[in-house]
Amino acid sequence: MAEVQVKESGGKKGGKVRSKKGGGKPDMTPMVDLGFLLLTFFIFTTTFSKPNMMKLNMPDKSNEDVKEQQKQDIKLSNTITIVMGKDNRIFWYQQALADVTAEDLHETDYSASGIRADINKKRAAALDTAIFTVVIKPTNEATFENTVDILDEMEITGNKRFAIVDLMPEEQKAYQEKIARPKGQ
Amino acid sequence: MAAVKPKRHSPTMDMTAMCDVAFLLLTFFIMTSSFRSQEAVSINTPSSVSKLKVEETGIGTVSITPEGKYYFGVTDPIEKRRFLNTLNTNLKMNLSDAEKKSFLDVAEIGVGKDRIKSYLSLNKSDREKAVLPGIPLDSTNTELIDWVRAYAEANPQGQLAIRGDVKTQYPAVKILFDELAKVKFYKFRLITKGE
Repeated sequence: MAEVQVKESGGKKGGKVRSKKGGGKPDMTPMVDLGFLLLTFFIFTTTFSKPNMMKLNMPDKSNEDVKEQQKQDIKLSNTITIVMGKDNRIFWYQQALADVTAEDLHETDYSASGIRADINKKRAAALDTAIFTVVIKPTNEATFENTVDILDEMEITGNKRFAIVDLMPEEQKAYQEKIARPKGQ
Repeated sequence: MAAVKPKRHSPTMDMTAMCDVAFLLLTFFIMTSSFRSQEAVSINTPSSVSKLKVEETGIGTVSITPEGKYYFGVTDPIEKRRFLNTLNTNLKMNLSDAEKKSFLDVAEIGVGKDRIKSYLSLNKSDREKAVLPGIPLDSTNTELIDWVRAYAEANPQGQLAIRGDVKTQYPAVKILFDELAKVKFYKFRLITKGE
């Protein structure tokens, strides 16, 4: 492709003075290469930097709604409560709120075989799968990443009914007891 | 009679046209792509499976740093101008024209109304070096909520996005959710990155 112009070296003293062969055209190949290289670079960097987003709707906390919810009797087997704790530890339980203890908190992890499998199992065992509700309770030691991970699980498992709720004192107590123990005990 | 010489094909090709095309495309892509403006804070967002893309317009973003500081930014320049005017009136900031101009230059504002005038009067390099306290949001001072309301007032179609860091502690997010619920703001977007 490229024309290589060999410069006549070692001019003989008595030699004829050669007139330069006028090519007139500079070789454009490297410039084309550069152009396409930059082009590729910019195309790749611009399309991949766009972040994603996920929707999150919080419940309306006005008073009428609370009364409405209290009327509804939710069976224990129709819910699962997930507690996210310190150091990316995660627990779930299926128990009446008033008598939850550290023993009821089952430890699992954020992987597909962990919490996702548990949610799916519990949902399959629910009395009414249509109203199966996941209650998400991040503790003060959880991170934003944990929250997003769990919301992600909701999306993956296709759970439309979930709520982010604060911990009750009983749960707080059980959680403190549980988190003090090392993992797996 | 002279022998007919076969026409010699020269192996060179004229690259000029190709070069033109390459640079034309390059120029086009550079011009049309919007560069991410200098971010005041570097935030490493968690990943999610969500396929929803962040829009360029109609989004007001609350960023939460790992330390729990809040920043507020608006991407679209037109919306940002409207937001600034509403904010200026609502919070009685009394910004001068020069300060407004530098407000529009900054991608994400990380100072409350008490210090915003002195922050905006800094020049560009000093502004980048300045340690920002974040927009206040706690049980006594909910200024960030006023910013969100100013944004919603200026851009009724706008949505609120929350951009938290992987290491942001949940209480910082929770107080934001709670305070937003108090002003009947229930729908948000969480900004994440693809997996």
